[in-house]
Amino acid sequence: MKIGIDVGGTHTDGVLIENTRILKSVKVKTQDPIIDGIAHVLSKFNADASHIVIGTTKATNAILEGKNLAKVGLIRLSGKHGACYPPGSFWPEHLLQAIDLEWESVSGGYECDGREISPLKDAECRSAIYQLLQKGVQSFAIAGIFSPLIPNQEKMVANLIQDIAGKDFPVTLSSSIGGMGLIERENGAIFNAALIPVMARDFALLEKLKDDLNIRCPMYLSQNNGSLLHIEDAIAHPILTIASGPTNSHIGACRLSHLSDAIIVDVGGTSTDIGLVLNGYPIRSLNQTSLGGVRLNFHAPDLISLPVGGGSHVAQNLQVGPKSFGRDLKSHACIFGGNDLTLTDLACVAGHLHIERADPSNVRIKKEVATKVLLDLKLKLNQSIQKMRGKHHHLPVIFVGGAAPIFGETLPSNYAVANAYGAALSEMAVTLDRMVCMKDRENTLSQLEAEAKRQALEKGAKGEIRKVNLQIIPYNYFKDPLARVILTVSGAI
Amino acid sequence: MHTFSDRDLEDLSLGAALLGSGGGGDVEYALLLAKKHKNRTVVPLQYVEDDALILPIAWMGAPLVSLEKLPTGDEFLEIINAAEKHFGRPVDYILPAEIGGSNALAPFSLEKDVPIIDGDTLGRAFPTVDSSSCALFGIKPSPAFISGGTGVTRIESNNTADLEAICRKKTVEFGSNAALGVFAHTGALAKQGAIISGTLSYAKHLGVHMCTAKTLANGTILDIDQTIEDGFLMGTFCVGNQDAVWTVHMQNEYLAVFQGKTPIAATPDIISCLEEESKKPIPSEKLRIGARVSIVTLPSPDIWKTKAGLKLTGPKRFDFPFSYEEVVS
Repeated sequence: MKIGIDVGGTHTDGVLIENTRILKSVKVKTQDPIIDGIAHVLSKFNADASHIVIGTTKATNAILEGKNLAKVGLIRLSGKHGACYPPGSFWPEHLLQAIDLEWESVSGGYECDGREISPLKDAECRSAIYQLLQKGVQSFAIAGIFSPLIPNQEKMVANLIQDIAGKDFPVTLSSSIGGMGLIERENGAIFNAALIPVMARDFALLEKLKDDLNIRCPMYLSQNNGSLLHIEDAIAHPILTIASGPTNSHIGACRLSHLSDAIIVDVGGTSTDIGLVLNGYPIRSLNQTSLGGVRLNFHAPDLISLPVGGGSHVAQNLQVGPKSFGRDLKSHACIFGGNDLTLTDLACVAGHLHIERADPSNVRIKKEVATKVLLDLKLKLNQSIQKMRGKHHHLPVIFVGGAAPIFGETLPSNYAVANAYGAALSEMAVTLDRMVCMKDRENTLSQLEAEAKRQALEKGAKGEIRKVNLQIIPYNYFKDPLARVILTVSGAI
Repeated sequence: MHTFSDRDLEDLSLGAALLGSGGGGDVEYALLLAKKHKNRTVVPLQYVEDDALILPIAWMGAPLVSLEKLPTGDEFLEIINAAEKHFGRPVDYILPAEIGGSNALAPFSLEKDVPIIDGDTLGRAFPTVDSSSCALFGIKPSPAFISGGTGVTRIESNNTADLEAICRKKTVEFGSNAALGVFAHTGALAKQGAIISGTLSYAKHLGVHMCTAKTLANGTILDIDQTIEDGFLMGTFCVGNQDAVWTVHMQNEYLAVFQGKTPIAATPDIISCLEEESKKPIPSEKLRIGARVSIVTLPSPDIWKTKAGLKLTGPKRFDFPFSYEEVVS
């Protein structure tokens, strides 16, 4: 049995599953601290689970609120390159203050073909480390040009830091965060370094909770790509836990319907997200992701978001949204005795929705009108679905999310806890993002796949490890066919 | 004379991305860099003195590499210094060699005040150095100056084909990204037609009024087939909706659009792929299956529509079995 928990803004959802069957699901109010909501959910599952997976927005919020972040010292291995884009360039002022970034640039970095731009200089690195320590940094980040290709220089600097500052001094390597684009990867490494102290405390609370509740099974966190993260990995790389929510709900939706490929419509309180899942994973967005106004190279799912949800306000001219009552629906909606017309009211009148202790006769809209508004909305929704569909003409459309019934579609059972279900089903995945020479294409790709599978195995994946995503982005300007390959493998634990 | 504001640079970057026809690299970083500098004086060609020394400048290399190995920021200053030393006189004006893509912003990210001529030498983006209005006009390609951030190399070549070959080799040596100053010429020659006048203003205008582009197709990217041949990103991608499927052919830049088997747009006309929601042009190296896009087109600069111009930039130059006239007629 496994437990999946999704800590959202309004609700903390939990599911207890056996194999892939949901035995029990729970929805409680999200509390502050979130650990209380999690404890509440866990207390309702009086069962021996083999593991627990938690999706949380805690790291995201820590960055957005800029609270309790560590003072970070960055060492950039790039020589003169990038001098015109100093670290922290283009950051919003409040984040620069919250993280209190200090940095040093030293010789180093690699060319795209693997040559060193310049070798590391021991004395220069040591001096940079001492200077940053003198400025009172609490956590180090290291970012070198093309380090995902060859991480050696970053590792050498990390060793020097631990030589000087002690084995336990927090150090983040940008190569361990991954992704191409020096500035974005560096930003991710800085965020991670800033998060380590605060998140370590939080994740340690999870460990304590396990003791308090006498839970002996392993606990994992949910990663942004929908896969599992060991708590100790999450303590070293808390940045990897950001933005796991939409990924979990889309994966969960697909699996609730026993599919590996589908179009998912996730209907929430204020918005409806439409996404495409292929091979069990949501396809990734082309757009740059950013957190708190800072560019990162994490890949969020590619979604079309419509400002329409269960809490959407319906104006007198029957215009739906974008204003929404979200979590305050109960004090506003007509069916609950309020004075504001919402989409939930219309759905009740149209007969799509039956809610206990709700009274559709409070709604002064005729059934035909309500049905017509919902139908028009559905047509709009279908246009977006068509766009998301592309060439996948035959893929089914799955509706999930707490407000999914408003569209009157057939819903999978447990549609309201798709996100927690997605978390519970998370697998151990490994993503490699490399620049490789494709001269011997098949051989190169199979070597990469073998490496990824080996890593997944080390992290605890059992049984069949599958290739779930392969993206090949060719580079121009080279005689040799050089390409960036992004490969993800995944296996159950 | 004109001083470009930050807002002007933003508009310029959007218009330049559109004129990039899928190539010329991502404008975003170039814009951030340009905004940090204050080299903002833009001069209409008619005010340029006959005896002035003009140097077109541009980045050459793989756009994706430049996101990792960032410029030092001194490359163009080094090139201008080397050119001044070589010619024994100051460089009076610079201009972007290529208006399409990130290069439009290169002259603005200079740590020195050198006025920028309102113009460029391509009117768009093209994959090779030799499709330049300077080459078409007969400006000598020697000397050219190239920098990888650690010193300048002077390149002597007999013709533009040699120049292209040497520059490409040097660029790879420098880690596949380099700054270039080439086709130095006088104000008199510029006014006689060595450069394409007014393209900075035009790109800025396009950035404000994207609607001047004509829409050819709206749909979802269904397939991308890209390979690298001799250092170029070659291939096709398909865009489709319920009614039709279009195929776009590319070599770094988008070169032709087919509806079924019929070509409906072709180089040197500018073909751009816009993200449907944001209306932002997508560079060819960032295309992704499932992206929702519009394919739009803009007319080519006039100089490429002549017989000699089409020889350098028309469909047949890129091995298509039809002429430009057949497509536009």
